[in-house]
Amino acid sequence: MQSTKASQTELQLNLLAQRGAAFFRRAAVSCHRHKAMDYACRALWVSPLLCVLLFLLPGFSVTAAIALLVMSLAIIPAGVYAFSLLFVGLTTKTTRKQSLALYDNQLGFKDDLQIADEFFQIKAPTGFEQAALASCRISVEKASNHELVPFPVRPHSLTRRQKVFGGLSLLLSVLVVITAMLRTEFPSVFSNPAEADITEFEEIVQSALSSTSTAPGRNRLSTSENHNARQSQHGPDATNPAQAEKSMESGDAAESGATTGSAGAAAAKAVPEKAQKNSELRIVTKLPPPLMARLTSENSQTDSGSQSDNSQAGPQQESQQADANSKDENKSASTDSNSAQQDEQQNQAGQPPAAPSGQQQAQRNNKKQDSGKKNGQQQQSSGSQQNSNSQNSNTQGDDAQKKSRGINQLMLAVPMEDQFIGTPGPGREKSITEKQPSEEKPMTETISASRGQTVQSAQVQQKPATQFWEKQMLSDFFQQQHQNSQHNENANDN
Amino acid sequence: MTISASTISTADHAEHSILFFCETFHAIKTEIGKMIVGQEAVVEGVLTALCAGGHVLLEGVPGLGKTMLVSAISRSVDLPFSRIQFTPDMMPADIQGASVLLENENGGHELTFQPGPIVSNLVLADEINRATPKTQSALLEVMQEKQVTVGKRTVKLDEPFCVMATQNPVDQEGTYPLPEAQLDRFLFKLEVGYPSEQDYHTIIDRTTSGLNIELKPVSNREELIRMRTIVRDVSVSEAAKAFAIKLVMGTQPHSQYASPSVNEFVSLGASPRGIQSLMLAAKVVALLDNRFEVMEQDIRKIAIPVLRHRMVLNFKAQATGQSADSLIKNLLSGF
Repeated sequence: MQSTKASQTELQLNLLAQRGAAFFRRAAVSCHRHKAMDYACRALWVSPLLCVLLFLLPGFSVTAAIALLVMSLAIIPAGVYAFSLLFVGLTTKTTRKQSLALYDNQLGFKDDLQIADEFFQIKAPTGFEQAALASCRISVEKASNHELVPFPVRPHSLTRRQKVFGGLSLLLSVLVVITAMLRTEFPSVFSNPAEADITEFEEIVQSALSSTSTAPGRNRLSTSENHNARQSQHGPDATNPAQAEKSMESGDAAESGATTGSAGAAAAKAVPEKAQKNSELRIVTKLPPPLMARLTSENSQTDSGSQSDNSQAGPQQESQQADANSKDENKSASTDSNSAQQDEQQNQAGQPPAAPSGQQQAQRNNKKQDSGKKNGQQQQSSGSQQNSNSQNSNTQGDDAQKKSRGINQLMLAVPMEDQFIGTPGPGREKSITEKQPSEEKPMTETISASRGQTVQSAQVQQKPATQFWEKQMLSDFFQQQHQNSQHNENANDN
Repeated sequence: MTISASTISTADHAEHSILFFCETFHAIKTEIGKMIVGQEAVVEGVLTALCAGGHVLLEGVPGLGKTMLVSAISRSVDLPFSRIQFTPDMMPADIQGASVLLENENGGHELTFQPGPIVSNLVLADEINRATPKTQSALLEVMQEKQVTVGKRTVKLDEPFCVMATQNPVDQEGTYPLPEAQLDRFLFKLEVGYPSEQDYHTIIDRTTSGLNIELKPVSNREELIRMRTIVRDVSVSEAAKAFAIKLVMGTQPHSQYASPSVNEFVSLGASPRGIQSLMLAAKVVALLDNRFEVMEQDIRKIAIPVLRHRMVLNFKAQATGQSADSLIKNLLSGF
């Protein structure tokens, strides 16, 4: 009878251990759901990456991309989620003792099931062990009829980060596919705009070449000249694309009536970007030299306000003058820019520029306009110091041209020592330092005996009046001394 | 050495044993309560040590009834009781006994061993910390071996043997602190405190009136021996063993279970004798709770009185006011 009961109890314990282990596995899986969802959301990014790769492949198919998108968005995250949970469920291991302890804790049995399981393993239990087993039998039966209470797990919901992750990856995937679809449907829209412009420009040039003949002595700008001219006029053009387009159109009209050479055509073909083309067109629409010379002589310094006005007035004037400009201005502008750069370099090196001839002077006036516009952009970007300079400049109204060549012209490259002498005057201070040589001063030797004897008494010296803090300090000091001596005496007595 | 099998072989026998133990224990406790007012924890601790086969160290200010307690126990269990008042001039022979030259019947003289006051069942060692280390060491052998050796003569002490020592924490002038080796031999160190206000009323009524309280023996030597046997037969689960081991190792600084406070404030932890005392005392607690096995909660209940005198605190602990009780509580909360 007792052996039957014992075997029955043992079977119940085995069953409880199995149930406990299954419970722990389920609990581990449910606790891991949040992490699994996190992994699945991260796996969503595989989809857009695959679509991008597919997009870059030569044999691209929109249908394939859409199919891949759907599959990757549905299957990959679900697979990652399921695999993660499965992995946790399989790797969660619990001992028999832990499973029984779960029942003990939930039912408040004080380790009865664990003790019963332990004593069941003993081959020859003592009376107390047998009695303990008998007392635990009731607890085992109670536990067999008990359903384990699941651990409280917070409700599963997508976190903000997961939502953002998933949404962004989905959006990116869809965008990639839409882009691919549009590329397939409208290839012209997605072609390279620079290449389109070049193609268009080439067509214009070709038409010009076929319709007109090249005049001698009138050369198109070389590639290097194009580049120099482009540099001098790059800034203001960028601020007014509308004006640049107008100048483009006027430039096109001017060029269509001009003769071009083969070198010019090659140079034109070499221009890759739209901005370069704008600057090239600007060269075509320059002011006539007499007007330029007048404007440069009137402007002595730069103005930030006038710069912006000039930057806006410049393209306007150029567009107005587009029809009147000729190819000679192109040539003079190119030579002007070259000589301007040379002058700038000379000035930076501290050498005065060479005395210009008449033609060079006219060219220089032209190039002053170019460099002025260039320097105008430089000074706009350099800040308030240039603003202060501009305030001192003579502004000649909206038509004034900038004449300064930038702050670099004001700075000398040669280091000089500071010199401080004299007293500062009422005006701006100027100090010059000089080393003064040390002077020897003769010392008169004094002998104490030569002073003679003192007849009178030294008299009572008046004590200086002690202040309150001095008195307090002295008092504290002597008190401390007294306390220390008393403490030492007590220590010796002990 | 042969290991005797348990005398309790069946579950029914175990149930009867546990019933007997609980009844006898409570009877003795009730009888002692007639004379000793309050101090229930101290009374239960002394009886637990008596049933577990250990010795008790009682620490408290004078006048709290420490001597009266031992006297009441001896009357309740009908065991001889002897009292040794330790003084600084006491010699080991004053405790163990000595050979004395006596006149025999024939008119001659012969040396006869006269046993000292230690040869008894219940011994009250009053103000043990006043004795010199030499005299204290004489007690070591008696407490551990339960025998007295004087010269070539060895006298085995009669079971049950229990030493209940007292020491006064206030009067520390001219005292000799007990060495760790002797402290380790006490099962419990119980702190006797002041009685409550209600207990003062009872004390006044009982001791200052003409009331004469006589205690009757409710047990005897055989029953006490049987109780000790029953205690030894109680089973211990592996979980309880593991917990006790972790606890004792936790009191040893720089062991794997030691807490940071133990590492900081303890210079010497409990020895293996400590875990023996833990187990024996936990078995008594389990029996009193009508259980056949020792559980973790039993060990938690008696951890402090068993371990507090086995931990040697360093100077930093003394300077910062750390006590062994607080360190043990800290350790228990961590497990």
